[in-house]
Amino acid sequence: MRNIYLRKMTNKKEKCGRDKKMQGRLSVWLVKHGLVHRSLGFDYQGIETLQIKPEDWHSIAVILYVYSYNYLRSQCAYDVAPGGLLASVYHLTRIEYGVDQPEEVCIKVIAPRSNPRIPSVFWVWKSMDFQERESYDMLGISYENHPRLKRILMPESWIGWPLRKDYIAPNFYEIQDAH
Amino acid sequence: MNLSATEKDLMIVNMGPHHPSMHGVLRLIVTLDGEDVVDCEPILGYLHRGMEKIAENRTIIQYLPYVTRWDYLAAMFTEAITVNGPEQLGNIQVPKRASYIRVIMLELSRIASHLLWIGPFMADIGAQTPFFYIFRERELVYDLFEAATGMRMMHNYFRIGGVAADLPYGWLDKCLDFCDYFLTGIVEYQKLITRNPIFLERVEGIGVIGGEEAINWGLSGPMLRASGIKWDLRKVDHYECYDKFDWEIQWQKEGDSLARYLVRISEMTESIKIIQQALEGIPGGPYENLEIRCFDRERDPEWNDFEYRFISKKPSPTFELPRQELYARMEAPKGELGIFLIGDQSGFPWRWKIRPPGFINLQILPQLVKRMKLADIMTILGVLVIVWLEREISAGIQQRIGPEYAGPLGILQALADGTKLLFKENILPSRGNTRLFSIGPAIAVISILLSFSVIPFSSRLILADLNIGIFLWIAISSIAPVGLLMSGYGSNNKYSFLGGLRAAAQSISYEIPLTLCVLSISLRAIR
Repeated sequence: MRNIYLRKMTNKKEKCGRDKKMQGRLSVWLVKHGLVHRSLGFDYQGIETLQIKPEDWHSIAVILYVYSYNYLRSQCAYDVAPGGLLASVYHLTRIEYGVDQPEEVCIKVIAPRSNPRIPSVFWVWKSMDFQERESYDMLGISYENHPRLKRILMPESWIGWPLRKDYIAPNFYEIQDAH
Repeated sequence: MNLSATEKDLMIVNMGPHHPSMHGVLRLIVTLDGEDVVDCEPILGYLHRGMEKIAENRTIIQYLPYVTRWDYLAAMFTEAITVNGPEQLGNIQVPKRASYIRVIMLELSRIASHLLWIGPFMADIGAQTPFFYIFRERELVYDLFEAATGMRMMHNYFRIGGVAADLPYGWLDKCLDFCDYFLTGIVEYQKLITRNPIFLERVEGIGVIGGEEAINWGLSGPMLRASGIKWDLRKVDHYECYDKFDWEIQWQKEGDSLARYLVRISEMTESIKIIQQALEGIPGGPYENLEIRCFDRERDPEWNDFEYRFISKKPSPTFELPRQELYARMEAPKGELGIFLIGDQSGFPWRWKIRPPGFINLQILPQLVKRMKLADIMTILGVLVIVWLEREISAGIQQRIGPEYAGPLGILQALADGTKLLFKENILPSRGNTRLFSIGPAIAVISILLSFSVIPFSSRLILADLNIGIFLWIAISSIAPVGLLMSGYGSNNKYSFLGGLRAAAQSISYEIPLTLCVLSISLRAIR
């Protein structure tokens, strides 16, 4: 299924030609089970990257957990382009006994800037507690069903999303790089 | 599970944000039922410094001093991850010798971090003495670091492609001596602490977490290894040259605080083993890969376009991050320290996300302290080993407008400074002449300010016809040395008096030639 979201990053997959993407193993498996996603090829270390729509994220998260990706190492959020979309990135891997160079996958969930709502996966991987709160605090992505979604680093009464590229720090009398 | 409530209402207690003994700032809102903890909510952000936002405007070399301030107990790890990310992005090979040096520094840093963890942890539990013993060993590590990098703590030693400078002559022998000494030190800690019954009472069975749950909560480092999961990024990722050495992952099965303590102690012994093997096997060769300093992109802008004309902070030619993204990680003493780096084909990264081990390990605290006693909170908190300053993002930092802009025409600061001179002395010398002492500065300032009144300003602040007032001006401004003399004399202190005399003599030595010059010109002019 074609998505219309912008992709800012060019990946290694570009070398394979525009129409034929190198699909990773997980992507192939997901396609086999008829799950909507978009493969973004591989990032620079060869980790498979997938792009998922916010509506499908909570079901695909459970599926990935069952597929035995039980360790969510890090969750990050960034804006794809100033004034563009916001992306929430999850790095998953699998911790098993005696494993060496385990499989990893990187999931990007992309939300529009005007209404950034992404389902929270706290109930699948508990390590999302503070990390989603931090993405909310810094970029304004609101995670639905998160038990305590409030600002964690900035004071509660702060207005604005500091890490967005178009953020202007108040009372700051130097040149700012806001796009 | 039904807790029989001993009181009718639960009590809510606020711990922090200030804590004694090197804990940094964390606020815990603890809900208590008697002495049992029902819930605990950590509130963070007190030391939020904006590291991620700052990173978007710095090149890697410019950013290195910042990263050592994330986790100051083990600064080498933060530097290592900062250079590892761009190295992996740029496919930069690190020479063998640099890799060995890095491993030695990292393991020394790991030992330093674990040492500094033991001190405050034991101090929280009640044993104050180890706090001093750890600093004895940590000073030796500091000495080694200072000899090699120049700084005891915030080293700024790692560079993209190697390290900044080679090890000095004799450093390897000193390091070997340190390893031998430290092994006896660890034995001392074992004797003091590990079989101490009070310590075991406090620490055994406290804050238990199982392996599955630990994985789900995203724990890493000794917290994870203490719960039975043999997961160490040095073995899993095969980074740097850890594969060349013979060492084992230290782990325990129980998952309580005692297990975490034991994991850290044995990790220190393993680190010594690694260091000894590295010191013996260190090869010669270059210590930095200087190839990365070849820049082939033409950077001269067009004549008279914006880049050419805007003369401001432009970074010198430096390593450019390609337009790729990656997640680099390493095994810091606290856990998995990671960087998610999105490059932007310029010196600055587009996004630099820090995955801090302490932040993520802290999430489990509310879960761990349920059903524990109040005193166990410190044990559990201590064993989580969180460096509160670790990394944060900030928006408005303390900024105020510069002094030359405050007030109408920017004169407010100067006026305030002058007014301050009149009121600043709030100590009056008891035996001096208090009247002269207080009036002295006033006379100096007021006469100078008064002298402005006789300067004939015309419209738009242009000096008008000089006929009137020039000598009046000299006369009024010469009152100022009298003020200096008065304050010097009234202070009842011969050095201040001498200072006043000197200042008065200086002012007069300007005034006399000035007056004579002006006098001669006016005499010539009024004819």
